Amino acid sequence: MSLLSYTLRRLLHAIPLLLAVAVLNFCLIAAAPGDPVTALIGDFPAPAEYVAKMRQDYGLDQPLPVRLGRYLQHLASLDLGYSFANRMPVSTLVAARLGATLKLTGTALAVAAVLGVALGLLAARLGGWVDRLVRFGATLSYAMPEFWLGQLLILAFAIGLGWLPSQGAAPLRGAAAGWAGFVEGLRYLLLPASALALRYLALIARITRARAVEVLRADYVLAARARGASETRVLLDHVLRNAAPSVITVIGYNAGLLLAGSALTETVFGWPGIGRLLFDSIAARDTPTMLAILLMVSASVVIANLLTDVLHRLLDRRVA
Amino acid sequence: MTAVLDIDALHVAVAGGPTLVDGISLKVTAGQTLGLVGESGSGKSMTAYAVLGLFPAPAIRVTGGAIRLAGTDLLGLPADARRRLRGRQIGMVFQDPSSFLDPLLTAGRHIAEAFRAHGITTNMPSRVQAALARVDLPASAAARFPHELSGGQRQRVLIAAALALDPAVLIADEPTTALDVTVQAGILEVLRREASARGLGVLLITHDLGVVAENCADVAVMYAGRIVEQAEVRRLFRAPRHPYTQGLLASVLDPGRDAPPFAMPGGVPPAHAMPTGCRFHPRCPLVVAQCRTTAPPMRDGVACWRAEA
Ligand SMILES: Nc1ncnc2c1ncn2[C@@H]1O[C@H](COP(=O)(O)OP(=O)(O)OP(=O)(O)O)[C@@H](O)[C@H]1O
Ligand SMILES: [Mg+2]
Repeated sequence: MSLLSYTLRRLLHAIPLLLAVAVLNFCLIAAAPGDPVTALIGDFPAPAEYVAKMRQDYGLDQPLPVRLGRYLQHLASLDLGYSFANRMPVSTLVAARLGATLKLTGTALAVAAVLGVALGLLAARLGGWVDRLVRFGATLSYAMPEFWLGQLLILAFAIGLGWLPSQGAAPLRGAAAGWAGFVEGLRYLLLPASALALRYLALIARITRARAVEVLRADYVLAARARGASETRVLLDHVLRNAAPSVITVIGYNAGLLLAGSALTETVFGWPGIGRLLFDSIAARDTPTMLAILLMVSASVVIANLLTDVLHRLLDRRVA
Repeated sequence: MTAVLDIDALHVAVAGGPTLVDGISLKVTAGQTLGLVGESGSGKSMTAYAVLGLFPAPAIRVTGGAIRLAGTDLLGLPADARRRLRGRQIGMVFQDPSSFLDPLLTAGRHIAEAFRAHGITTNMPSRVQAALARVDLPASAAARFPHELSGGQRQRVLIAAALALDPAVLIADEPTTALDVTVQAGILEVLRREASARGLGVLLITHDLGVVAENCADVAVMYAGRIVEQAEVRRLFRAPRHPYTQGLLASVLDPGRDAPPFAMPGGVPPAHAMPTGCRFHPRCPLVVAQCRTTAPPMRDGVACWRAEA
């Protein structure tokens, strides 16, 4: 089967899956206590007729199947609904936040992949105390939740040492222009990206090391050395290549970990992204925004898995 | 004729453990094929790895003797100088062509690797094509992945990579054991042709005395880390002198019997529990008291107290 028809088939399979996710999310949120009206009114003693009127305006007086049907109908026409809490369409709201999240998760992913693969190869190649140190560090790091690590980093580098900012993606007075602005942006990015990258990095370092140890013992590596290949060439041409499919699989299948971590990290660091928006929308019972974000996260995970499988097939032609 | 590869009283041992190769001496002559036979576990592969300077486990090392390549002792060379001899002066072909090819690299990349390892990077496609032609493979094979090739084709690719830089010596460690008989003949023919046409010295390791009979000028018989008999092939087949060699030949050459090769009772003792004296004595039909206590020296090509001179 060609790669193209494989990809198309997988995309087709993703549609019913995402539909099921949308229905499930909708029902779960509907079953949770509270609604946007109670959240808007808060403790204010509003007259009962006023509350009923608002419920009617928001369409909350309809029975669940009707509301679900309307939600799915809107989804089908790519309409994500309206956020009453923010008084703008959900799509506008999400679009404004997407850049910040992509910047944070993209940086964390790149750092985790590059450092994780490098550390894993190093541990496998050198063995001994370097190997033990990397393995111990990876186990320790993987056990550390993002929000806890984030708070530790803030305590140490923002509050204790005062080196780096702890909240937001740019200064409140607005970002500087040009090079200075870029450097400033990096200063804001450093702590949250580190907090988000660490667990992922640990995961990648561990799988890289495990695969590299295996490949270094393989007969074809002995044969390469017998041809006179240097250890560097063995590492780059054989070990890295043969470890890549497993490493990419771990990276891709754990995209959900990265997105969940991003929600926590953004909350701790006041990062103006999707994760922070999800947190705020839960607090405000902003159902359309919640639903849109949850669906986006699910779609991202599905796409990440698909990309993983396609890449795997590209790298290893034996996979049918 | 002078030996291109001269292995002299080689000892290989596991660090802090048993001796795997116990003082063997072999000479490989340019343009000729020396057979090295012996049962599984007798130390044939360890001898090959010692020449290459690569062992499958870091704890295994050469503990004595000399390995001279065209007069230079390899054991005195620094690691990088040894690496530069691999592939360029000493080629190696292994038993199982499937596991010795990288599954994610094309045949051509394996051959190109041999050139690149020695700093040759120009005209790669034509170099690869020429190397493939030497083993009777078409140029189109360069783009094939190992899983797209047959067992015999894979072994040809490994031979092409091993011979790409025209080494002086080729070590072939059971190159046809994993292949079926019809394919074996083609592989061996390639090796014979290269040996005679290019003056390549070949050390051919095998279980198969038939392969020795057809391909080798001389043969050494190895048992439990030692060489027990060494002779010109026709002489050895006509009049084997060591009881172990006699057993080997009897189990193969008896036409009426449908016995597998090496149907002698017992097996090679494990490296950590070697018998004293002659290592073959527990299995030997001619054993006498002296065999149990004192190892027989190599005299006139045989190491046996009972061999008639
Ligand atoms: N990694 C290792 N560590 C320790 N001992 C080993 C190791 N590999 C092999 N040996 C031992 O070394 C001895 C010689 O093994 P070798 O592979 O040279 O045998 P061989 O003659 O090539 O056998 P075969 O015909 O099965 O290939 C055997 O006793 C074996 O058990
Ligand atoms: Mg062997």
